Amino acid sequence: MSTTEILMVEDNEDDIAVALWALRKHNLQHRVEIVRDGQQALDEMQARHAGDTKLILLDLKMPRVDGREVLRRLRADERTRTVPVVVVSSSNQADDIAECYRLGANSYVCKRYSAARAGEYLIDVVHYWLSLNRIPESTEPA
Amino acid sequence: MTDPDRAPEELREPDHPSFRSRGAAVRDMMGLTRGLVSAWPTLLTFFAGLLATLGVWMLAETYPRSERNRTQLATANGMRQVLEVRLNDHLRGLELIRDLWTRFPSHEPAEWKARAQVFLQQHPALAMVAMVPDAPTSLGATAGASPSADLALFDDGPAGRESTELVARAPGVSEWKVGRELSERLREARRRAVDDQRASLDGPYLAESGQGFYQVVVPLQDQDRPAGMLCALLQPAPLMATLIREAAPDYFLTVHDGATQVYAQGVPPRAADGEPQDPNERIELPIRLLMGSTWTLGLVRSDLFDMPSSLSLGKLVLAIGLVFSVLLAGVVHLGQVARVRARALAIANRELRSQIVSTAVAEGRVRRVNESLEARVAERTRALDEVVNELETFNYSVSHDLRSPIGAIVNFTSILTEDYKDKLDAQGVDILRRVAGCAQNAVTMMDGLLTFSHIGQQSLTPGPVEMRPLVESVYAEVALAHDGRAPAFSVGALPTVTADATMMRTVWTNLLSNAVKFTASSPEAAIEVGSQPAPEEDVFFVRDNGVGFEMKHATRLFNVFEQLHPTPQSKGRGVGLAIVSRIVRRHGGRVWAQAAPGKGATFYFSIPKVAA
Repeated sequence: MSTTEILMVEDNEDDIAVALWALRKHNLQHRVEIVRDGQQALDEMQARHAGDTKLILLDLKMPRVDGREVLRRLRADERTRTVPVVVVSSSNQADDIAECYRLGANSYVCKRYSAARAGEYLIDVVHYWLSLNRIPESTEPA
Repeated sequence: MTDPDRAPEELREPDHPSFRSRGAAVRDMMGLTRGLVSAWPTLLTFFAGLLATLGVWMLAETYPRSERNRTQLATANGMRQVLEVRLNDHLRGLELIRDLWTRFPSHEPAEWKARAQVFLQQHPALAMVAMVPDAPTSLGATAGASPSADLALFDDGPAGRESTELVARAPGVSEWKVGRELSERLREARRRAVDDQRASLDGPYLAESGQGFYQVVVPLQDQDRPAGMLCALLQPAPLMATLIREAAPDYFLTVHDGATQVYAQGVPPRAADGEPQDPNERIELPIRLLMGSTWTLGLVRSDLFDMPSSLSLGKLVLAIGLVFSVLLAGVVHLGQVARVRARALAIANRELRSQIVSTAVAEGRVRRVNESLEARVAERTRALDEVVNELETFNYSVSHDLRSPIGAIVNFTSILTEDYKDKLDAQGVDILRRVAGCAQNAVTMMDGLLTFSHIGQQSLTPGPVEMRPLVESVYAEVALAHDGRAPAFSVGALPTVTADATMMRTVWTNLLSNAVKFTASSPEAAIEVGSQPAPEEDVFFVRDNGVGFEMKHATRLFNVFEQLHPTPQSKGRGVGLAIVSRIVRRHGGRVWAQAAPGKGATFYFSIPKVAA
């Protein structure tokens, strides 16, 4: 299962470092691809076979193309329509959360800054989407 | 508006004293002119009219009279001349007939008679002419002959020598009967004329047959000796009638010989009652006849066509002039009044126009000031909105941008704590824990500020919110967040309100979270949620039996900035209450609290009822 990939879209190096630390600490085997802005994320999704990416961790506030726009385009593209997208944002505002779900996010996770649980959320989310859930390759019937 | 503060001063202009007195002056002037101005021209006109009337009256009184007099005089003169010439022509003609006898001594009676007949035809005023020579004519046959009956007039002629042969009568003249007494007077007159050897015109006489006549006697001379006479009878009235009847129809005309009226013609003027005939009106001219007689021609204008004296021209002129003067004065007066009023009206109009203009100008200023005020208010509001917006943006971005690095501190300290704990001594671990705690506090604070700022910018989406299920749901979350520690919790009957559901959730979350937090040290923690009925709003409360606080800090609890510098009393409450306050106030409600240290606290908020 080493081909299973997580696409992490995040421009904050600190958050990236914490995320990588958490993944390594919990010894997850998923290969993580990291891009620094929305445009790179879209390019990455266009370049690869959509099936290679099993989970997208998407920050909202980014340069060039922000998270919302990325989410909108992913959902507009047939190949990426069903790829789980977890929005990871520092905002805990209700309207931000509601908008993300409206745009087609599968989850919304507020970056928790807890001295005891740094990066824990990431492990929980990855477990949930990559271990517990079964996502169809396409919404169209086989 | 370059100087808006000046505008109100200018706006007072219509109330300015000078402005008002100008209008009053116009009104005063109008009243004044109505009283005074029109009098002088009116009086002047009246007196001028009166003067003109008097002038015309005097002319009317004098001019026609003199004119009439002149006409009358001319008429009289003409008549006098005609009468004088014609009568004298008759008398002179007699001398011619005499000379016919004396200068042609043939003394042919028949020839003389024939000539005399022609003469009489040419001189109609003469009724008869007779030659009475003293000496016997050559016609001896005639001498001594008895006078004919025709000559009865002269039958007692001088010396009885009258000869009937030398008598010529005008056609139609028949016998005149003359009484004895008149006959004697005639003879006497003849004798006197012969004695005086002077031609004479004597009379007037009245024949018994009714004819008025004169006797003309022309003495005859033969070589400077008296030689008889020529007699003629002059009947002037018919001649005068033929001469002047047509000439002066408008006059009453008389001819007097001395006191005796010889002739009268026309209608005598009526003598007005008690008004003597104006002597100026009567003209008397002498008619000088040959043979020393002078008659008098009297001419007076018949007043056939004259005005009655009561309606004389002068009086008429006076009356008309007076009326005309009064009318003219009236017209002038009216014209004057009209002119003055028109002028006053024009002034008033001008004043009114200028007032209208001033009013319009003032209104324009008011409008401009209002517009500029509105513009300024709008501008200030916009500026204020911008400031608020900037503040919110600043607040948000500061919070947000600070939150990440501080969040990173939290995360990295937790990594340090987890992975490198055994490489630090106890003091190092304690310092690390303090760093993490401080960073965590900062993050919590910033999250609160972010929420607070966000609520200010968020638009309200009101809808029906059932409070009781909401409270129960929120309490479950809060309890979970506090590690499942559950104080005794009771919820009363709560009404449904019209509000933004998301914001209501935030309100309850903060209030319940606080309640749980501050009852942590209470052995029998109890939290009660309820509502109180009020006419225009729904009041909700959250009561706890926690640590409470002093009432003097009550208002400060809701101030977000107070929470940035936490006192021991409010420490740890964060900006939650400020957020609650902001949400409730945005809904038009209010928040307040009742508490005492160690005796718990009750937080109230109200949501206005929406009019059905």
